[in-house]
Amino acid sequence: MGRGGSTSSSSSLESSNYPALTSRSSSLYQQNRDLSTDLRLGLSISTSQQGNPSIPSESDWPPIKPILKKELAAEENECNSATFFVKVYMEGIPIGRKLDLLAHDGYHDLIRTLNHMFNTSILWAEMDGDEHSEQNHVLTYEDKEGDWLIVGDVPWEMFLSSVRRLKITRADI
Amino acid sequence: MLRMASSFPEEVLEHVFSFIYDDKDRNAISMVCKSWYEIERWCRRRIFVGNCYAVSPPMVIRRFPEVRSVELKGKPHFADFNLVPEGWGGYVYPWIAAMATAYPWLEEIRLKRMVVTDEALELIAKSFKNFKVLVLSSCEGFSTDGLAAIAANCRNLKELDLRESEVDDLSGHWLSHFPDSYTSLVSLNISCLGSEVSFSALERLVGRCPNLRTLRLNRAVPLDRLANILCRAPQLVELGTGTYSAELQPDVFSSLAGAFSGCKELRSLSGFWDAVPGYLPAIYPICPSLTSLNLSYATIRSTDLTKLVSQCQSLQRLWVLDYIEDIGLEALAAFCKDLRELRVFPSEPFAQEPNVSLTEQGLVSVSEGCPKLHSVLYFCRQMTNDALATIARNRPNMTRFRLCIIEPRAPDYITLQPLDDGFGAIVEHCKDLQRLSMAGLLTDRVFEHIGNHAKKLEMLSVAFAGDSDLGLHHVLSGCENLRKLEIRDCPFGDKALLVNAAKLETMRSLWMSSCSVSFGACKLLGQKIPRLNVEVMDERGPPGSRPESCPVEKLYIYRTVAGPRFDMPGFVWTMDEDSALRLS
Repeated sequence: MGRGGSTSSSSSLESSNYPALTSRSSSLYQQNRDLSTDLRLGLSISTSQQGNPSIPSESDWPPIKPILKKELAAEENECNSATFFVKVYMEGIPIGRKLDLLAHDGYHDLIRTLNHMFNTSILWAEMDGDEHSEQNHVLTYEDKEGDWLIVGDVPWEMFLSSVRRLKITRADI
Repeated sequence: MLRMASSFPEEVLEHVFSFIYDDKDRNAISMVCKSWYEIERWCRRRIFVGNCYAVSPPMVIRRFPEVRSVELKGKPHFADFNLVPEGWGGYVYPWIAAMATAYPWLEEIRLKRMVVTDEALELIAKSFKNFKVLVLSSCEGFSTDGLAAIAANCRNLKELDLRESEVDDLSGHWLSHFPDSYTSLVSLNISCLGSEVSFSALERLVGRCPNLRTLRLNRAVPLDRLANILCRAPQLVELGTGTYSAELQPDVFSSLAGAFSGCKELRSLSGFWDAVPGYLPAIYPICPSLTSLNLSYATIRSTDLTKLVSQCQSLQRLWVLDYIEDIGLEALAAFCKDLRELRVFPSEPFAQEPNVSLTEQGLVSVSEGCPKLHSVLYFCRQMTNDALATIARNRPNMTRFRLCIIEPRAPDYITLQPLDDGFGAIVEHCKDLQRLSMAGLLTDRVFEHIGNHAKKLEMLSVAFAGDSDLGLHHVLSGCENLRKLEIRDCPFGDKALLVNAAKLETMRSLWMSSCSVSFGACKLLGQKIPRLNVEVMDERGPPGSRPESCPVEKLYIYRTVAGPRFDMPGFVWTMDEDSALRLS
């Protein structure tokens, strides 16, 4: 490089801006001072500050491994693929329907679907007293022991693990 | 002293050295005197090469002729996040080829972020008669054909672990290549494979290997087959389930629950793809004895997660999605007093708005409630300096702290200040901090804190931070134990690098991408410091075709005794004396 150094370390690097920078470097790297002086002198360019802050692309931010990213993206696109179809019969109608219980969030969602499917108003365990008179039908289910129970008494998850099929019977029992 | 050293019989010294396993200790022994160097090198059995380009295979073989176990790491860590383009390097074949002749008794190969081909696997299968352990962590370049060669030929294989590797999955048939006479399997991890293996072959394999303690299945293994597999291996200590979802059927549930109850040694669980809450109670009986739980693929929500972790009183490690929410982390803090490591991953990493109620509070709770917590990886969407300071005061025993705020440059959301003081508190209180990854809005001040306090820091990851070269200078001049530094999207340029050039030889590697380091500075570094490889990566074309002041896209600098490498792709250039002349 051949540029002889008569500059002292304190004036070699915008020392007025970064006094810590130069004094630090000179104390820690005494033996390499020739090298770093050499480097500083050999460098005729200045660093540029970044202009507009960069916005990362989805391919490399946030920093999660591709294998996990793929799994999560797949989850966002498709719902949980598990299904649980049960038969539903309405009293008096020999042909039944089938319904995916796992496509519903809970009892309210289920009743809404059934009301729509069978074009009726269904009574179940959690309804208020004054609604009773207006309901035409009652929703019951057969559990794994073969007993028929009214829908809605137990938590939704427990219902899902014991229900075998559904039956909508007339309310005037 | 010299007289004593030479009068001590070699065999005795060798016997003494055989009790020393740690690399640092072995290196220290070899520096005592020439005869100890000689004795030590003949009896070193295990070598670890943290950067496969830091040394060449012939150099290793020349010094250590009797090695039985090799561990190599290839690509830079940021390759995990797609920042290293395809074809960069990290090929293991030259190592296998050299070791095939030099180490016929090689038993163990552990690779991380390397390119492994089927030819390499076939060579391993053919060359090492006593081969026992193959661990391929985040590797790529091979197919299930290579695995078939390993299965068919390695009679003494104990461990086959493919964790997070990218495998060209031609078929699941490879597993059936383990002969019926093969019974020595101890650990099998195929969780990264997509295709279905023959379930009957898997069950037979599991059934005839009495020492099997680790089994990580892949997603293709359905839940209704898990019970059968578990029943054949009740001695399992670590299990990765396949898909954890099925129609809720009482008989499937009860056989699964029964099978889990039978595994009295089970301490670690993972897998749980598509987990359905209805089947979680099957593992409740073994929860109290679990020490490690990886739910990174389980999309169950906070209610079920809370119920689950509350039963895992012995839990030491938890990896989970942010579905756990603050409320689940509070339960973790209350019930899992032995927790050492927590990783929380984002369930919707690209959503702008939070989809779950997971905030800085969750991490604060765990830092308060879990006295042994020392390793954290936490993805969240908001943070405050106060929270970080609280965490630091609660957990001065923290050794690994990695925070990622989804939005780059996010400030303290309450005060709108940078998070400098929060991270400053972390490095000030956590005196044994070895690894740090920062997030949010950060100025040069945070680097000053790090340079002043983080004296044990070995690895630092920085993104979208700092104002000027002063930041980088603080780190390079202050962190005495720094080995790995990786930086992206920071306004760091030439000055700090050049002033601290000598520091780079004391580190394993430095990565800088989307910063402001000029081509001219790279050339200078490469020319002046011979034992550094200064590699410039630029997909725009040769850096020489642009002005010297133009910043390079990516820069990877690492110390080496092997000189520049020759297996680089077209977009990587080594800056050294020759290349500087060629490129100018």
